[in-house]
Amino acid sequence: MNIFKNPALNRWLTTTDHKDVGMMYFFATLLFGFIGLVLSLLIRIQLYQPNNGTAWLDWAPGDDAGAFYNSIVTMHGAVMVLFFVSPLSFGFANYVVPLQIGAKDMAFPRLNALSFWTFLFGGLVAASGFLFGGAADVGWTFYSPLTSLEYSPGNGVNLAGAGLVLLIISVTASTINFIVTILYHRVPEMDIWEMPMFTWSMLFTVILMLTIFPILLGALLMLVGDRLFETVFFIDENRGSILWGHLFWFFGHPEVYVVLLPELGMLAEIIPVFSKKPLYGKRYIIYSLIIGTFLSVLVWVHHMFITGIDPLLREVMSITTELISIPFAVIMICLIATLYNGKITFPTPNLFALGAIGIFVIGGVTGVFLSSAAIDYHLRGTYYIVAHFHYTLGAVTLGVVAAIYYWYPLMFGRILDERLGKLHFWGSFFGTILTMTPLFYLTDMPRRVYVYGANEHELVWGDYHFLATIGALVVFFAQLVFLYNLIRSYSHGREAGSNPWNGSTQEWAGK
Amino acid sequence: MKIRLVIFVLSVTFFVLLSSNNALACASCVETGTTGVHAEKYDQLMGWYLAIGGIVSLLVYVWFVWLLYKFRAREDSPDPVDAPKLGETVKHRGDPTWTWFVTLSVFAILMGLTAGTINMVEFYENPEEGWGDGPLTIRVTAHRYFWEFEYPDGNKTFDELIVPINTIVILEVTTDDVWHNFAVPSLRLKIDAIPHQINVIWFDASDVGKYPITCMELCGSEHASMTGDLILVEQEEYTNGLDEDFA
Repeated sequence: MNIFKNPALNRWLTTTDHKDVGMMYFFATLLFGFIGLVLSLLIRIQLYQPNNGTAWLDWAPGDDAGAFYNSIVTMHGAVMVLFFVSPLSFGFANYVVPLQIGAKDMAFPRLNALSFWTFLFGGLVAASGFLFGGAADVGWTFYSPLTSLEYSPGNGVNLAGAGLVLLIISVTASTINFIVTILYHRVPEMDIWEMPMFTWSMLFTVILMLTIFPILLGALLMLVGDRLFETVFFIDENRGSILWGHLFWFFGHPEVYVVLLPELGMLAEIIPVFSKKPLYGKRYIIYSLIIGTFLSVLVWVHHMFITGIDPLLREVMSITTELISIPFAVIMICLIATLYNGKITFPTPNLFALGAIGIFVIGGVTGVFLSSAAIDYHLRGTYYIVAHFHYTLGAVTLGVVAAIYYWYPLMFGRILDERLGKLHFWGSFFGTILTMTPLFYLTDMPRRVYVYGANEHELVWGDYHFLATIGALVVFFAQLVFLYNLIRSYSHGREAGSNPWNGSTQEWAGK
Repeated sequence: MKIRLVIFVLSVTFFVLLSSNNALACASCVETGTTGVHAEKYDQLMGWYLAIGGIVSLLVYVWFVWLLYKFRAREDSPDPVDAPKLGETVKHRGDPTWTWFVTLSVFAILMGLTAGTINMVEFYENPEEGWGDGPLTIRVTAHRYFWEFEYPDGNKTFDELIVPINTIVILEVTTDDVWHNFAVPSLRLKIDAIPHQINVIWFDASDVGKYPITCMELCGSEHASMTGDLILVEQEEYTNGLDEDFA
């Protein structure tokens, strides 16, 4: 196709090649990730001491410091989960999965390009609220009736909703695309059990996404109806707002597994390569993925333990939630057992992968506490939750960054600088620990407050937040090193050759 | 190489130690205190979770770090014979006995903990006979951004819940606008306030004093300022106070 005269414009704007689309996902998600990172730094700076002034928050349109802070928190969560981690995995999947299974391209290349563009504009539309009178300030959970026209009259919720609808269109198209590609476009010699682990994990990711995103679409359309066409789905007196809770969490809980599964696949690719041993228990991991994917849609009520829901349901969902930790424990144990009798080297990709396991164990164990409906009575809605899910998602991010270091040579032909990479790793690793560990102690402090310390007992929280803010600064500067590394190594990095890590999967066979 | 491993071991130990004894208390309860039967039972259950979670994660970390140290690449170490090579299909390897052992032991541990949880859920649900006098039923209505408490005699207070100790207090929690969450960390008590719905929870406190009440669900721009006080008084004082109100 030749629509534009400029060859570069023509290539990037009209491409349907899976590698090009994968790279565009890569750049776009790094942009969103940087937005999310800056938002998180703003949160940490505001909270670094008790009774911190709100002068900078008052710049916000509408002169409402609290609302502006809430919109920062909301957009940080939504952007990081929906527009950074998950699509970054999809970028790699676009690039790597067809190569791993020997397909020429995705099954539907034009649909693939459509997925990318709807994703990009979805993210931009959702974040554009900051420019048009305030982004959504209702928390990424969007609990009704706070999202109703009565309590959120601004544009923010509409724009976030529109952005999410675009994202769902993108996701639906790309899940179908991946399922067809993985199941029908493998080279004939490749039995399904011989597929590499990253492809396996993407298969379960997209099946899970196809299960849950339509639920969110339905809920969002009902919300749009409430806001624009005077319907009363979620403001109805007969349990309307609980209905939103169920619909949202039926999507929202499996979504964290959507984020996690590709990362597990990446770890299962990277760790065997750098320990020079085949993956331990490949079939056990695949069975665990099947069980985990299935169970993940049966645990959503653990987000609603204290909504006054039937105690029997609370007990059942406590049990399913405890059960879901078993398959993921097995996966972690298998990944660690791979190291046994190996010959382990520690270049940056492996450091990030091992660091991800180290962080994930704490995130997982603290999650087991939360699966108990009784423990939830004290911990729900506090900073303990924040610390828990940042440990798990922090581990996921480390794993995805490991994949960046691992596949960068494949995408750009050069290896990211090792010294800068190690600086980046230790900064991110200790920074994450320093940011999130103190917050485990704040089991009496509510989330999403922009100021604390009005009452005397709240002053003690300041010490913990101060440590956390230092940690966040360390993480931030480590990411600046990373950004510099990405740009510099593009032209100055060591030439990679065709298979720099001695990988055994087919994406390294090309060239 | 060795220095880096030492750094790694130290870092892992550092955050295991920090994280393993977290959350038993709430950060500010050192100042505000802890009271009531719920807190007692909660801390016991949480203690079990922490102890077992701590031991399990410590075992995993020790094993993990030991593997990293023991099988690190040395200059003279040969490649493992089964090292994956480009173009060869990776075959499944694994020991079913060992995997079943891991699976079943995790299962057993979790089910043990769940038994404690189910016990506790039932306890939160129904006040047991003989825990204290009462019951005293109070209607809690959340507003943006304050709490309203209505007592059985029709009196109302705002942002201050005054109740006697050693009495079963039943709270009927609701809201007249958006979702809120009524939380008293010192009592380990928390319940959502949901529009058009009344959620019931009970407590029985044992120590006189002033304890913070917090809203724990995002309810709007001034969510941060939605705090209150639970004031626990002697039973006599409470009755006298009521008499004064009537007079």
